[in-house]
Amino acid sequence: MNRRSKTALTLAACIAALEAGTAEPPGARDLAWVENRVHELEPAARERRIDEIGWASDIRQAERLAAENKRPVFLFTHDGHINTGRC
Amino acid sequence: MRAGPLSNTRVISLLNRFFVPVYAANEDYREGGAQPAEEKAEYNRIFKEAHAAKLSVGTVHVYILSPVGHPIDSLHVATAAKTDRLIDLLERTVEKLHVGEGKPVVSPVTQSAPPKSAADSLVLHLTSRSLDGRGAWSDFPVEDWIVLGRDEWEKLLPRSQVEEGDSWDVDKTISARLLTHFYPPTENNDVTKNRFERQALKATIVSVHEGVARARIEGELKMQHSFHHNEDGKTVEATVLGFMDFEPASRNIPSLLLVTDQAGYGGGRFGVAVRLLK
Repeated sequence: MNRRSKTALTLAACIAALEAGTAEPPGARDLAWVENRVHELEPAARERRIDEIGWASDIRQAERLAAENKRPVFLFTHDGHINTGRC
Repeated sequence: MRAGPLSNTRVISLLNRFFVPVYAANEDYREGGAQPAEEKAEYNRIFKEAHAAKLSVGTVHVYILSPVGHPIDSLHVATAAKTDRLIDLLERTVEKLHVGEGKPVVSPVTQSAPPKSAADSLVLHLTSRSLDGRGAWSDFPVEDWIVLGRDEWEKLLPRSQVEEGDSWDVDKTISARLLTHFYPPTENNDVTKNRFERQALKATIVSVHEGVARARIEGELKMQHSFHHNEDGKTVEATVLGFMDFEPASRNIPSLLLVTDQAGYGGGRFGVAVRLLK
């Protein structure tokens, strides 16, 4: 069997495995599958970079800290909840 | 903004080194909103001062305030969402005001934190994300916090002692409280507008070991949920799977996980995960 045939067979096996996974009946899902899926769906650190910013808790605190530290305030007004992304 | 400039390393660095950043959810500042009167007054003052200073104003907007609290610059969100334009605004401000560089004046912390709740409540964290970029926003996953009081979460449990193989339908009011959040990232987040066509969760005991029962939970929902605030007839259809550990004697629930198995909305696929925090 040459290298190209081996690659084609491997690819076919991978696709078959994926299709088998998709066709798996819901009853076959176990706790490990659920835990893994929860982990896959939850936010990754790169999706929570907003947490890297030192946000003041409200406008008045921001203004007080700005005066104390001689810094400007960056104020973003928005609809919804930017912290959870439901906005 | 969150997926664009507020995830950009240079923007994050500029905000932390030279500014005091703050965000304000408009709903909290309107009549009946959660913020106290003094905070609402400050929000309104900034808006009026910016308007009087002939700066651009709007409800979804970036404002730059001087260190003494007066608006000196602003950008509409459509412009501010362009990372290079926001960087230009920040760098221009630093140069104009000769702002000294320093450490963040507030230590960065996780912004999506569990809400305050009674000691005997259950706090659940929910994540929802588009899986294929179709039918919903797909920039990043969104989160919800669901707090169930004791009178609510006890309805997740069977009324009597259990053994392997026992099963029960979860109280419809509680399954609705959970499943109403099972929708992908959309502009509309008013769950009071959601309408179930069907919804159910069924639990079956799969093991009982050393006083802890493990129930497998299976369910489904079909729910009307509009993408925008106007009615658009779109529906969520999903199957749900999960596991709950509980102690029948004390009626304590140490663990609960739920996920969508298959979930669709607006021609796209999405996934939801729920984890019990406490």
